Amino acid sequence: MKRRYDVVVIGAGPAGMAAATTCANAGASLLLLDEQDAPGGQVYRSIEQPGLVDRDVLGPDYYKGEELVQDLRRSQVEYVPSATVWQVSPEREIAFSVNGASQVVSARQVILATGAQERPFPIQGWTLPGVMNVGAAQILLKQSGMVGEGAVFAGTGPLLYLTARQYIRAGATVTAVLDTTPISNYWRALARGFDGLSGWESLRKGLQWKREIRAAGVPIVEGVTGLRVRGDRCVRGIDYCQHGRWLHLSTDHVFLHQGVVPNINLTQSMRCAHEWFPRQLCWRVVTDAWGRTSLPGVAVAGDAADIAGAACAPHRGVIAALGALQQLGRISNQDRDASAAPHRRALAREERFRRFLDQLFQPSESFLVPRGADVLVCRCEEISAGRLREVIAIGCEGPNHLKSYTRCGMGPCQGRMCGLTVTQVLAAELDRPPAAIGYYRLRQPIKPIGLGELAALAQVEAPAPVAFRSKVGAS
Amino acid sequence: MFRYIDAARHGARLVTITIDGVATTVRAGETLAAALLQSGRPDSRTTAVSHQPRGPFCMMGICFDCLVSIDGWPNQQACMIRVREGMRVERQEGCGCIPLGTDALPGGNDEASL
Amino acid sequence: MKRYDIAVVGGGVVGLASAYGLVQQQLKVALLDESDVAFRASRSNFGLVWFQGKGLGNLAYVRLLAQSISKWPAFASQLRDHSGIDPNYRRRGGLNLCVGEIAAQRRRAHIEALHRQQGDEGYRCEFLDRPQLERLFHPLRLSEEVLTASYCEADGHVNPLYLGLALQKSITELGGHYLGGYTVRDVKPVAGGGFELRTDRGTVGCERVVLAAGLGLSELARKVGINAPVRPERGQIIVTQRAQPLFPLPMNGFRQTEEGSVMLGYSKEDVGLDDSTEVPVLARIANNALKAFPQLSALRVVRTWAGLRTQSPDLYPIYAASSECPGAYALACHSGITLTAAHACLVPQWILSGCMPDVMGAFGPERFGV
Repeated sequence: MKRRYDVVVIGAGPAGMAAATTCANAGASLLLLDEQDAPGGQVYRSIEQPGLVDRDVLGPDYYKGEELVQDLRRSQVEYVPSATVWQVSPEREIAFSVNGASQVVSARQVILATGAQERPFPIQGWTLPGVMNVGAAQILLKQSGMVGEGAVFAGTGPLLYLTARQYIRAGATVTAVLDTTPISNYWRALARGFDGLSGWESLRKGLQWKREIRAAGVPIVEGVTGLRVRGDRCVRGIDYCQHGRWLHLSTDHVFLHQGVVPNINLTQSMRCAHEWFPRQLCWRVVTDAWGRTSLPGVAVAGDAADIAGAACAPHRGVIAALGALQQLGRISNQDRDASAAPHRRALAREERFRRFLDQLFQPSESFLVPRGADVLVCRCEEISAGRLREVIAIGCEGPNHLKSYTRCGMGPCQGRMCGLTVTQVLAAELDRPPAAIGYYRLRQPIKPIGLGELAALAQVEAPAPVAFRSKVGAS
Repeated sequence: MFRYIDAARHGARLVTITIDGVATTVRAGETLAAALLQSGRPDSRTTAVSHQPRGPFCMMGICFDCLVSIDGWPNQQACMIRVREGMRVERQEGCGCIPLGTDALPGGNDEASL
Repeated sequence: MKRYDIAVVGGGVVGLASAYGLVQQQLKVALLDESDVAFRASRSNFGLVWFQGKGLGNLAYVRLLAQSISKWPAFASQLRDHSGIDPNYRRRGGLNLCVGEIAAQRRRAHIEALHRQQGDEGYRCEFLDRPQLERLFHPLRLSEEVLTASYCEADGHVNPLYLGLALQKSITELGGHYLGGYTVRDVKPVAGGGFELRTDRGTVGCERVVLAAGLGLSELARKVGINAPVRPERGQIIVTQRAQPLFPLPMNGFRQTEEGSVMLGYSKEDVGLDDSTEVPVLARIANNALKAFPQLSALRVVRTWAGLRTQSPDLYPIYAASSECPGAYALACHSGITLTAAHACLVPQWILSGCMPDVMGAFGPERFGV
């Protein structure tokens, strides 16, 4: 007999934790599923067991996650960690895998708080061992207390500077920060008067971070227009172009970042309506004021909807939870609206900052559409930009056509590392706006699962498949 | 080189795993990807198509580049798994090979084809 | 307005094969294709080029299949030459595994009946016994329940996606025009001859039109006085991560691609125009796979597919020439991959001579009544 819940929340980051706590405290039967083996998502990764004893390294923002987790632990939330959700059907049946075995539960309301991922950053050599996302460097710091010595940070966006700063406070040597923020973005921001107070505030904070980094002896190179990672079997260095000149830095570690984008694989597989969001240059699921998608009973909260950051996530989680509770008949419309009001005010305050940051740190097209023919777009299947353009020239109407002819997007990551790049490459080659290009057709499972565990869902009397216990105990 | 910083949490006990046959001591509770990186191995596999080296890239389970074989089972994401005493880790060369065992052919090893 | 000698409507494998054949006849050919989001059975099929087991009660179909398969090697080679792309056609025979005694008995009876029907024509099957299968598959273990399998040396497989790419590239290399996003909404005969096709990207004119629009065929065919009833039949497929070579031969329901990924299938469902995949069906496919090869449980499923087959009422192809609007033709089938070589060769013959080749003659729509 399938277990049925009032609400299932997927994702135990700030939005998911807030949504789950809110629903559980209102008396709804609730299941919280998360892929990691501890709560916090990525931004508050390892918050219950930080890899660092010195709280100054990461800074106070990280520790804001503690309260969210404490609230979660105090509530009556049924929380299942290490649960990889691989399907949510239109009828809200959720299939998830724990320790190599899958089960299916059903929900009256689903809240997806599956968060964000980093935007793909396809440059020459980005697949070499030693190249990682800035988020990965941060995870290694938060969870394990580890740093890569002599790293080069390259890209654009607040997370780039935040992590470089954390590295410096951790006592790591940082070789340089290569900033690819287009200089024209600053001029445009100036022309808009920096969008008022919020813009000036963000700018001031950014300048403070840069001062701190420079004071530690780390050069910041602005206006970088080209990047090439060098090395044979692993990273040996990075070339960068500034003012038309190519220069070189030796390093074992390159940390890349050009913003975060919503993780849309689950909502795409559910066939929720999506739209192109020009300001953030990404696809996002279409939601209403309560986070509701085009699918009845399915809402999205936090950065899974569109990028607003960690400060906004708990508010959006609460709002989605209130929406779900009203749908369940547990609270009235008036109570729902009244409870949501302070959260909406908080979001409105953050929205101005967000707009400013989005526009200032919008990556330039040269880093969205790789020019070099042999830059890999699809990491899994090793498909280059040149190959894609070759096949588009034969006649390709969109990402699915391209996928079937090149295998781009057929690997285990299911297009997470290449999808946005493919949208941009097709837009450039076909001379159409990204909104007209579309995205890969995705289906469950949205993460790979064992054939044996899928088969086990068919019948009870089938011989037990050999189940690999992949997440055996912690220590 | 990845290293633990001074402000890293101490007191974690150690476990021994084998990486490509070499016994390696790592901190208990570590993700396998972090343990591999800290032991000086930036690469976890080579790709199936052109045998290029890859290593952990996202550390959050979405890039599928940190694939290793664990106790003979291929295609395991090292960043999603914690180390365990006695774990046998092998870097994955090309596509992962599923374990088939070495059962002898019934009736002898005469591999006559059609 | 763009004008062509022949417009082929439909960018699936039937349309592509037809256009490929036609473009080699020094005609100005256009292939009109839908946009990126479309049902496209050609992109979600198993890739078998298969003879065995088909056509019981329909000797004409057996003949058509046999002819296509006999043409496949030369067709694949010519396609490689024209496009520079290898569709990876491999013919070393194929197997239909029998899991359990009842399945084995049924299969024997079925194959015997087919052999009686075809006489000396076509290709014959033989049954492999358990020891032969064990040697063939070693070191992959067969479950105890796999008792026998029918083997046919004519069977093979191809990469259906590269097949599409190779055909599309060849068409353009040989002077044809691929018009993507030109979804055809209306076909109008023009007084004095020829047709006008109203599409999402403008009107296209042609002397003759070949409708190969899959599930969209019925509606378009009606506009030129052809009755071509087709309905969707869903098939779901599981695709795994790459693995070492596991299967020595393709099988009915099991195939390993050149890249190493394993495809497992498939279902036959009547669900209308729904190309989603569903866990109960996928789980059943997975379970059936493990019933034959338990060791496959270690494979990881990376994606699933559903395709909507274009099925006629009796499951056999439809080939029709319009008497009301001479110059209009309609084609539909569900074994589009196997019949690719036949289509590439026979469709030009048919269109240019105005006379349908004998081997296609049994598949006119008059067999469905009015």
